[in-house]
Amino acid sequence: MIKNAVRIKMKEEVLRSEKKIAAANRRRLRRAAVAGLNIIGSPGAGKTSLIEAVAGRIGKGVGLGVIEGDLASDLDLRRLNAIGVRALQINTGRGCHLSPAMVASALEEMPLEEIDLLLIENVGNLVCPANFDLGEDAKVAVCSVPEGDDKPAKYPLLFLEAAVAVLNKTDLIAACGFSRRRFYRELKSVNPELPVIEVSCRSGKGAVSWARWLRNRVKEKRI
Amino acid sequence: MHETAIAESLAGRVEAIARERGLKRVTAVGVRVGMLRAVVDSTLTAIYAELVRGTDLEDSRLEILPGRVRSRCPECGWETRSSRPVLSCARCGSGKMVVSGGRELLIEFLETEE
Repeated sequence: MIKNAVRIKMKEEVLRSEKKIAAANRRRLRRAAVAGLNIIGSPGAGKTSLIEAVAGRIGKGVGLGVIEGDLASDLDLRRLNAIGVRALQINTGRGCHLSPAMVASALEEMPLEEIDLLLIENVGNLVCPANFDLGEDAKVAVCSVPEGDDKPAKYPLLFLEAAVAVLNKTDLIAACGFSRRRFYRELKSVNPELPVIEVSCRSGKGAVSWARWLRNRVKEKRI
Repeated sequence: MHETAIAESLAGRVEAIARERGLKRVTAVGVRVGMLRAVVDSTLTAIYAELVRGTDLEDSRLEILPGRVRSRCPECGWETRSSRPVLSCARCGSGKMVVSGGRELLIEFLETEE
């Protein structure tokens, strides 16, 4: 008997369950009036340093909580605990990004009533984390000078998804031959609206602007 | 390697849809993948094949349909579809392009036999 192929048309979301969990995370953060930010950047871009840089500057009255995502180790957790930041480590094992389900279980363990600003440091990677909504209010794209000035052109999705880009390690601009003009030109060709905060975690330059941007996210959430 | 996570979700969704609709044998799966998602087609296909080996979906072949980015000029109506956003109009030079699409991850068809 010859069988006929039958094509059944549909429109079904592949990431339906991930989207549901992300939406539940978002509701949960909204109920607790917590501003949640998903921090995405390459390994070594300075994501943890940027969290350390604001820990002392975020101001009294803003409870800070951090979820640390790494393939392995609790090195970042220890760095943050050492300066008194409340943090929780997720090890993703073989996973190259945090999933909304991982964040959901971390939220179970976090004292959200004591937190106003939740920084979720994703696994170091410019590609995969940009693909998954965790239920955050906004994504922060972190790039750093030694990575080169061409990152927005090479990884457009992240720079389209992000609400802000942080350019870290600006103290190395001359040493690395980094072209600001090229960086901003590439960025504008992907997302002309994206604000950029230039920071040097080493010198502290720009950390005030970064902290102010975060405080404004907290204010928006309280309204 | 977000292809692994996507392939896992995809296989799970196809299995659930086949069960809901009573499809005994799925021979092809058409999935629209937005070009901004930076998915490597051959990687997604290979991981999917590995995941469904020995399951009811073993015979299903993955067909990846590219989801292009749509850039449209609201001033003169010029439109283009490409792998990334086009932010200035090639016809009238306007810089106010409206960009959509390129992020899809949709199962658009299943093929079965009768």
